Amino acid sequence: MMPPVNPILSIRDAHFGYHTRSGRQALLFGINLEVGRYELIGLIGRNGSGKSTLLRTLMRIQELLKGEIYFDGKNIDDFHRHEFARIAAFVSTGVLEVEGMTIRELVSLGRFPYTNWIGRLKADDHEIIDRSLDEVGITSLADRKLNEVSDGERQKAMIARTLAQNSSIIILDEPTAFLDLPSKYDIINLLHHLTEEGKIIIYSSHDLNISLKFSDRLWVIDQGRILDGAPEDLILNDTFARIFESDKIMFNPLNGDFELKRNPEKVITLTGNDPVCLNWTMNALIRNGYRISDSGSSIPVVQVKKEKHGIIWILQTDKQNLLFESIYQMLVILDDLL
Amino acid sequence: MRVGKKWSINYFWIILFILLTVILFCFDLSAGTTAISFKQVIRLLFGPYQDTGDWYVVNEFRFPRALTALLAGIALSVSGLQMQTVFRNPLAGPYVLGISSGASLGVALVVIGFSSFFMGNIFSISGNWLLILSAWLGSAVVLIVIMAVSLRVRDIMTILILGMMFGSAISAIISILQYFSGESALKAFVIWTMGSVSNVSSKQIWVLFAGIIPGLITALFTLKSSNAVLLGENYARTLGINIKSYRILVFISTSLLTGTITAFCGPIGFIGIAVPHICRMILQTSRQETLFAASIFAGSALMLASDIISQIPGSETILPINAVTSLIGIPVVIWIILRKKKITSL
Repeated sequence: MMPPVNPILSIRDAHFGYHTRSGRQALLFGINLEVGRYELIGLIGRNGSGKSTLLRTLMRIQELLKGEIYFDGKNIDDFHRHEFARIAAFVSTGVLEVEGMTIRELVSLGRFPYTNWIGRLKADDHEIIDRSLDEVGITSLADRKLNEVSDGERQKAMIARTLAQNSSIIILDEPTAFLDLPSKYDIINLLHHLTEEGKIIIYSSHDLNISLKFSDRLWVIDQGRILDGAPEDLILNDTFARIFESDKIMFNPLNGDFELKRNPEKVITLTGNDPVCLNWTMNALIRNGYRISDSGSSIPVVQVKKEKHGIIWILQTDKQNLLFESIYQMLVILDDLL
Repeated sequence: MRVGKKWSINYFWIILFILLTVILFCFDLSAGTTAISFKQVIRLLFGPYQDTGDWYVVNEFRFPRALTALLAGIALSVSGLQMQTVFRNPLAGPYVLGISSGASLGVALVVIGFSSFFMGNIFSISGNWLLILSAWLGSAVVLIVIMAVSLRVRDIMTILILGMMFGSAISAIISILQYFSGESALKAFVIWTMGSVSNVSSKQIWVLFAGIIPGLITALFTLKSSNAVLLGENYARTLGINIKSYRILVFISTSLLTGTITAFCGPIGFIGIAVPHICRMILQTSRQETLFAASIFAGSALMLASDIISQIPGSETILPINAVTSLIGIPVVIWIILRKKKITSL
């Protein structure tokens, strides 16, 4: 990728890792990355590849082993801690438990770098807190206790706190790890929306599928290096296939999903009048070890018809025609026939 | 205020704790071996000067005793609150750093080491300047070691465990001293460990203030950071806190508060652990400034109540204060353990 003209964040020849008793253990070597515009960056990599180490080092929780990181042309180590808190905000992995703390109190902590010695909130602080709550859509939950809301709502509160912190960079370590699927989409969509307000957001995730769809850019960790690009670029140049495929699992570049590798022996023909019905019938057949015939001449034939009163499946073998009202029924009979 | 409703409830409780402290303070003045009625106490406090024996008793003995109990309650509760926050551990208290062990070692060395010196007046030794000084030095030495460790060690749990181990090691040394000590010295030492608020004279009480007030002011300056530290130290760092300076401030405050009280009163158990939890339970908040104010007055009220109970109103016997605070505090600690789903969360 061509370096942007005026990078906001720039990582130069950096080694990321941690200190052990016997010395330094580097996980990422000679990393060079530049971020020149407000975008959502997904950090992808296997367990132990150095995702958290990278994010924590960017937040100055961990020390950089070698190299430099610059924000607006200034080395981040040259900022005072309280100055740096106005530049970058952090959401760590794991569930936060603080007995008795309300969502509003949590979000108010985002104002920490701006308040006086006792932490007194002024009128404009309250205004910013209200706006942050509103922006992530949890105003109605403001006075609830942290342990009384769902994991997704708590994660939104954590994000609202970073908004109250009013930083240019937000770094999140596996923000979707504990969430159900709709909440995952909800959070990543929210993050994407926030980049439009002028934020650089870097998050790590194991949900490759969601990261592919919503991120402007992916950083993929591969053996101590970082492969950088738009998600689509990384699909087209086979980066995912190379990094994540194993003898059992393959990457499907058409939809960005991972699939089990199979060697189906049974062949079947599939016809129908509705693409959605066709797609899911095919999914069921493939899962059960069938290969869909390309020529359309193999027997048996499954015909799926979407009609006014519902969907029917017609199974034609050389002896008989059978009619089913669900895929499940058909699969049970199909197993017996062959 | 946006959170006005919740706040007014919290104000209500804090005002109630203040009233309770004032009332119990007056009751504490009337409690003791010489019967002085509550009415007489009020008359002595707010009425004109009386040239009576009651006035002498209240002025010279009861007033310093009640004031000591009040200050001990404040100091131990605030220390306990700070320790629970900095260690993010609900069972932390004022003594987790080993301050009481340090003080005990100082006292043991003086009492047992120079036991011949005290032969004549074993039962009045707790008020002795030499004892106070040795207890103070003992806790200061422990504090300096803990500070040195905390500058090098990053993980707060390591500091907690080191503090506890350090305390146990000192206790082992004390038991060796006890084993080789004479009977009278041993008794004197054991009585010191039972704690007492009645040995501070009206002249010494100012020294108590001189330790407690700077301790409280230091604590006041840590409140903002404490709120952030509730989220964990990593979050606190990203909010701009220098964790090491924060810890040092908290440790200085705790040792001023706990060290002073322990030097004058001996180790007083469970108040420091129980009071912050009682405040959290009643006020249902994690706001450190609210809990700070509530702990000050709930702590002083509870300590005054313990002192009144230890006097056993209507009798001439005085119970060791440590026994009373333990009997009040232990049920609270048991309640914490039974109620917590996870003991590690605050």
